[in-house]
Amino acid sequence: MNFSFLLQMLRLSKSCRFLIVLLCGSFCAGCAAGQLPLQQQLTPLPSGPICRVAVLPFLNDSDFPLGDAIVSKVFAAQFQASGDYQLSQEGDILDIYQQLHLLPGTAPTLEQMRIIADRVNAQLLITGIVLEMRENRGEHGTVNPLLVEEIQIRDGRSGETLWTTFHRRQGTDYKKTMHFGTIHTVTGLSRQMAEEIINLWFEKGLAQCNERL
Amino acid sequence: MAFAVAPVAVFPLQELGEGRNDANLPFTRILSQQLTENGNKIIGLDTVIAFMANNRIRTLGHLDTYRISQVRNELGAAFVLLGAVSQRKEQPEPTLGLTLSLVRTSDSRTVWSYIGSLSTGENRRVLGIGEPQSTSDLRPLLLEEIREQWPWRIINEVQQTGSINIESALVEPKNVRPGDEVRCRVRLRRNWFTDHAPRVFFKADNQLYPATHSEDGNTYEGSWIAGENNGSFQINLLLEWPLYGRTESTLLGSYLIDGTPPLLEVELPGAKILDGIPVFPQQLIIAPKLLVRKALSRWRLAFYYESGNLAGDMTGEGRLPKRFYWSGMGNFGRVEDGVYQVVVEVWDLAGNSAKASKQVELNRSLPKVDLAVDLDKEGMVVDLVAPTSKVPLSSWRMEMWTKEGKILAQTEGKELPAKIGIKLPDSEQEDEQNIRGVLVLEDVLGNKVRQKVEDLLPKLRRQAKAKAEAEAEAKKPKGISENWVNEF
Repeated sequence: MNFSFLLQMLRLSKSCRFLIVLLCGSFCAGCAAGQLPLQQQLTPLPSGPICRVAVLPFLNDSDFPLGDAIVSKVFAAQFQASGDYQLSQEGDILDIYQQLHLLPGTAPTLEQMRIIADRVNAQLLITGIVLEMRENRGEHGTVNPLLVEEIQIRDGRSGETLWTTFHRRQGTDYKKTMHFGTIHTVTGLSRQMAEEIINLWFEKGLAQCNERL
Repeated sequence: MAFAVAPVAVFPLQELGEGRNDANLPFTRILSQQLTENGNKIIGLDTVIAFMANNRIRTLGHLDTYRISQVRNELGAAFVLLGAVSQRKEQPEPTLGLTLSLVRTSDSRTVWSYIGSLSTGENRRVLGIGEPQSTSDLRPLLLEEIREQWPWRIINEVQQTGSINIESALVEPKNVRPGDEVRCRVRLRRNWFTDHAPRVFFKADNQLYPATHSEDGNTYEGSWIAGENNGSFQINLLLEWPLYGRTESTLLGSYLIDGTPPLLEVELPGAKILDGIPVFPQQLIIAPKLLVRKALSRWRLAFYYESGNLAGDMTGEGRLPKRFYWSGMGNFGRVEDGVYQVVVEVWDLAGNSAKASKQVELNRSLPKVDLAVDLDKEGMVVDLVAPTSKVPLSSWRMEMWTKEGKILAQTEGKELPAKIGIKLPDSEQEDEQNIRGVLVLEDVLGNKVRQKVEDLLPKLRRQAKAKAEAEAEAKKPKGISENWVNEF
């Protein structure tokens, strides 16, 4: 190992040393953004191309008002944009919820999920839970959002979970140099986390829909 | 700046603040205005709100498939823009979040999504100059981002949608004269509710004519009087929804007003003009001619006696034949020689008619000549005299020869009378002097007659002999009485 670099550093002035430490620290902080969500594959995805997907309303276990609505809307939008999927209309899903007497914030049973998937003709269902959502105080009067979520891919025919993904992030996890990169909004954090989850799914074998829009 | 023709209905943005059904109308208006300025065809927010009220849509941020198709049918939107302001806070840090979904109404498919979020902390600038201080300052930045990501390609690929779904359309007649009635009937595949049925009009020549609908409510009819000006006029079907201040129209067809009759002329090529009337012997060529080219619906050719009674006629549809050939046949067979009126009538597609006529004379008579032969000392003299006839001779030719084939005379001319002297051969034998000949006559109409002259000389001699005997008999003294006196 070459220690000449350390010896050289020791000879530097105090201010230079501070700057180098700061840069190293910021690089380390940026490393957190590279952490992958925790994913568990219970059952393989159905074979063949998958295009028709329904994103069901997420559940909210956090104290953040309408956190489930924000995260599910953002996730659905990101999912559509990422893979050109043919998403079922939220209005159609909510109509079926109403018909099944499912109140907002209530999780459907497996049978109800099968009914929903059948009625909107979805191959996959996506469900999710917002475990924690907060807007913490950051530096200089800014907001440092925190989001913990768990997203499931379910088989439309059975309603059973195929893949489940846990993800936890806060805005400062994406800080690069100085304040740059930090995410200050729950919407922005939701979008970033959704992108990471979906990219992981693609890496793990979820195929994009190739049907032309 | 791009321009899209496919209309986009921007629905009120859902505000995810305290409740799920809060609306952010100011932001929706600003977004609509921004999209309009960028070249989009946006259905106004007031129209959309009226639509929501009429259809009792009480939720925001989403629509079901049925409502999306209803938006297409009632508002004529090709796309629906749905969205939610996911966050909007001023404290502790101004933050703004927005999600948008562009849904294609033809198949209710989400074709574009947008997630935007901004905060003042994410928009720090050098020395803080021009830094956003509130959500109002963040809004233009968000709108600029939407403008940059707006899916022009997808929008431009969709054709202008229309809620007018025509099953059948009929415009009749297509060609009319000024003042004629134009009728229009259209059958629609109705895709609106009876409560929201539009008012239906036919629009022609910048005039609106209300349509009456049948009992089933799908067939609409209208009629109006064609104007005075010639020209082609388009007919549009106009559907008006006063509730939404919306009007849709589609082209049904057109009709042509034509008040100008065809210009017709008849020529009789080949007919000889005699005493001011074209005369024909066997076949008359009738050549009708349109001075201005025009499409015809039908035509009629008729022949009338001088008395005005119909001798014969024929009719046809469409194009007028270039030539007719009349050989003197009427409806009941061959007609007599005489003067006839040839009438050609035509009707154009609008029903304007034109007539042209010519007086003609049918003259089938053959040329005649009176032939007189006299013997004189040197031979014989032939006198050719034309009897009085309307049709003059154009030429004549006479040839005479002996039985042996010796040509005695070969004469021709154009005018009559003519006197031709023929020297007879010296032969004593009567057979040798048996003269034959031919007389060819042709009149100005082209009628040709070939007349044989046979047994001319014996006949003449018999006649001369009989004449001489008669003269000799006349010269004899009346002997009986004288003799009787002498003897008495």
